[in-house]
Amino acid sequence: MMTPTTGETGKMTSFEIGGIKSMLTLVRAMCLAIGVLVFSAPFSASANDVEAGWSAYQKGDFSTALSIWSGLAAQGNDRALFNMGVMHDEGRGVAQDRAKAMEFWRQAAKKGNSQAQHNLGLAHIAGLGVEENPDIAVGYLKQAAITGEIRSQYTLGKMYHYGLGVHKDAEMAFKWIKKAAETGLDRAQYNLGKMYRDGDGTPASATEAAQWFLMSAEQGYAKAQNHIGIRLVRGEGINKDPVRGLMFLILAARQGHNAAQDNVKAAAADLGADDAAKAEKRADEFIPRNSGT
Amino acid sequence: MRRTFANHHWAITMLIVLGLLVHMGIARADTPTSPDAAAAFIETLGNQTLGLLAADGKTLEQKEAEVRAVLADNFALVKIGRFVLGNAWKKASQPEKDEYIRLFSEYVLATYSRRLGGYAGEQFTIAKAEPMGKRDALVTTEIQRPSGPPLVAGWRVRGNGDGKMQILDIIVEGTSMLVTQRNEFASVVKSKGVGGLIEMLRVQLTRFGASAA
Repeated sequence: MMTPTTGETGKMTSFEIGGIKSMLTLVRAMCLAIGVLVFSAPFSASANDVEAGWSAYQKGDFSTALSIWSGLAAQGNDRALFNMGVMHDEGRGVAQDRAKAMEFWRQAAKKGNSQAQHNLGLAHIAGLGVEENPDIAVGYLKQAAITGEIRSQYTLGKMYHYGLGVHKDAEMAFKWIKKAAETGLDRAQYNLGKMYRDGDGTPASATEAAQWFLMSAEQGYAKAQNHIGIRLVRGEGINKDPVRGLMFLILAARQGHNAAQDNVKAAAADLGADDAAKAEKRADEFIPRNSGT
Repeated sequence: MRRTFANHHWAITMLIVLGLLVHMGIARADTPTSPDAAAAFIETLGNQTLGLLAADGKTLEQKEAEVRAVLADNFALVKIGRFVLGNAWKKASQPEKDEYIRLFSEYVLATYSRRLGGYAGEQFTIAKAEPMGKRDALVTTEIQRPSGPPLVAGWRVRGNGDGKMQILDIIVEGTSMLVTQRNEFASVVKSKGVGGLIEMLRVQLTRFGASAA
């Protein structure tokens, strides 16, 4: 047992008291550090191993990635389980085996992995490696959508739109597609534009339709570029700007959108050579906005 | 005995593919494609692809995106897409055809660029090149693997007469990409029509791939 040293008076000097305090602080800090190391070791090691697998995967060394992730998957690591599912689904470093992929994803989904829940939902929509069952698909998509998975929110909205696995419900379709659109998913923004245009699940609004088409178009989504191009040329729901409208039509046409190719010809003929050249130049300089979704 | 069975299996697959292609009007009597020229085309394309995958300082996703762009230029995607859709192609509207081809191309290119993703730094050789049908050539390539037998792939190539060549089909271990894809889509088209297939493709393209976190 440690006995505190004292000064000549039998009382501890302030220097000694300070020293003991410092020592106690040091001991506490060491205990805390050891505790942190002991308790966090399995988690940080696991994260490092997932990273090591990822590093091999990035080099195209799929057998090493498989070997690292399969060990972690056996310990129940949800990211490793998910990645193992992807590798079996895509046939990376292993023969394609969709049934096995589903099994890995089911285990990851049970642990709350939203990407596994999303992929399982999609597999059940198409019947790839698993029975085609829209009811089960909706169950998985809801789990992922509620946690904020944007792609799942969008897909769930489409399920409500078509009445697949759920009762057809335009308002629920609008609700979920709007969530995905607000986070920046270009397809969702385009679909939301159409819903506002048609009054589908929401009151019709030409202005809202144009705004959502514009947001999607600015991200480079060809169909939205065609829609907003026409609206800018005509001034429908948005201030008329034919040069900018033609720019979007040109961008859509360059991506192979057939209707946009016809619309480019019509809009360019109406505008005249100078403005058409300006639109072409702006299309050359166009940089899509990246929402990171 | 095993080799005989494999060869037999390969020959049957070739006959089925050829029969389907003739049925779909893809294989027509026309200018035959030179097997030597087709082999040179596949060799150049293979080296280009493996070179892209071996590049340093890029993520696998970036490298596969570059491979996708190369494949897009060299795959006969419209012909393949039409064949895979079968008779439903004739009944589809023009906007449906456009959207289907766009999504199908994205789907096929993503699938094959991912398959190739694991061959960075590998060496491949042209095993043989021979005429296939009246118009095409079949180039057989081999990739040596550290363990197990080499990966053998057949590339069905068609030249358009002015030097431009395109890939019509890939046959890996006796399985044709065209036939596999056609079988995979047939039930969807039957139950949900071309619109249902388009929606299915659109949805499948939102799948998540592997990630670190």
